Amino acid sequence: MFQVIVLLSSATTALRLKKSLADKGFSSYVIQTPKHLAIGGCGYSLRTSYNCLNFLYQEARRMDVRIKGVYQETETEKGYEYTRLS
Amino acid sequence: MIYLDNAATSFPKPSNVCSAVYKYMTSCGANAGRSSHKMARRAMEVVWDCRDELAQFFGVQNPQNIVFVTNTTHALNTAVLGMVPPGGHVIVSCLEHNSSVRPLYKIHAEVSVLPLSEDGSCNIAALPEHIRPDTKLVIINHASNVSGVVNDISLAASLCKSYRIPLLIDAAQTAGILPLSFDTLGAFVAFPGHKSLLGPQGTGGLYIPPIYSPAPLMCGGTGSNSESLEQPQILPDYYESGTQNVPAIAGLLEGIRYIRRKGRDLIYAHEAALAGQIIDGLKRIPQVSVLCPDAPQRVATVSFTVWQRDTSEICERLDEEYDIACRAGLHCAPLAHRSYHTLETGTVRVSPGYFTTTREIDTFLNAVEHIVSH
Repeated sequence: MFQVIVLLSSATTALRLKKSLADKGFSSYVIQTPKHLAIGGCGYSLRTSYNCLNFLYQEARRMDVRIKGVYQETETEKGYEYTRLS
Repeated sequence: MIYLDNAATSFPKPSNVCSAVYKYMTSCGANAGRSSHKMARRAMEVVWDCRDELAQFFGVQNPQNIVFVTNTTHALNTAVLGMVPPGGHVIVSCLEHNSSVRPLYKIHAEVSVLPLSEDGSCNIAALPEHIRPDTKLVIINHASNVSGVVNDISLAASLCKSYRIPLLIDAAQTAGILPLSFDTLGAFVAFPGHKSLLGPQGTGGLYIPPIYSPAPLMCGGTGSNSESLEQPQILPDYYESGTQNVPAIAGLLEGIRYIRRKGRDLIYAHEAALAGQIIDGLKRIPQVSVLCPDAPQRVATVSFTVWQRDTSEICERLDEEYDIACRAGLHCAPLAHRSYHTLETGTVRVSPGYFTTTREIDTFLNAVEHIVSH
């Protein structure tokens, strides 16, 4: 299963979702949003597995947290490449 | 030293609070929410964990509605200056601290003051008589930092809800010791981290009810939406510009955990017993007059005066001769002293804490008796 990054508004919302995922047994990782993907400048994203996306969307809706975008993350020789999923 | 000034700040702090501050400064120390390296992530988690812990402790569903501030004064100013336009009408209790009143004075607000009840609390039931179509805010302190008497904030919240007027509660003397459910109250709540929450100085919080969005006191770097010159509207970033006091927040987190482990009610029962011991003991000294000795509900803060004796002199002698720390004067609450008719004299205020012992109170009472008779 591949990794995704979920673009969020702030470190606080990223950690809030991270905790929610952890409570369900999903692991995730807070990263600074890659600059070329960041909307409006600096931001934070959650790196996690694709298979927890549905749960993550549910939680984001429940918490009224805005997801700015979701990208598939692929590691290549030149670094990470991102493909927009939503 | 016998420390009886917990209404100013709690002392000592639990050892895990001190350790957490030290540990953070020596092994982490990064700026939270400014980078994503391991140390910065650890710093972010400390801030988050504390915010989350506060949310659980105070019945808040969304931790983002709790904004970190440096102290209660900062929280009160944020709410007042963000919600009240210059010259706006505000209703306050007769027991408010200067930190609520001075921001109102600065913006030339029109202020109505609720009267005192016979039991020494604010007469909240009189609130509807003072409400006007242009009333912008009601400010009530949960407990007086002078007398320790508790005000009926549930009644205040219910009245404000029915009149659709925002309520700001100053919980400086009660957060961490009396039950408080912020979401249920639906009011702004300003609280310190360094009093009954047992955290370090330089910490505090403001609960902002979801339906309100006061203008922030400060704008600046938030680590989010950096390309925009506008302050990001998301919580808590909207109100948290600049570097946080993360070492102190790490300490505050441990303070809350300590209270959860010990039990808030157990801590309150101990402090209430000490307050009772103080009041009973002071009442037995002929020249001493205790403020609101029979108040139905109080926190462990007791004020008293001594017939024809200067309150500052009493405090100085307690400190110099007996190594007992308390506070004399007006306690930054002239409105309360005016209500209690102690504006001329001030009072001696003693405020035991969880770590105060009954033996220390006995020593204090003996000292007062000796000072009064000599």
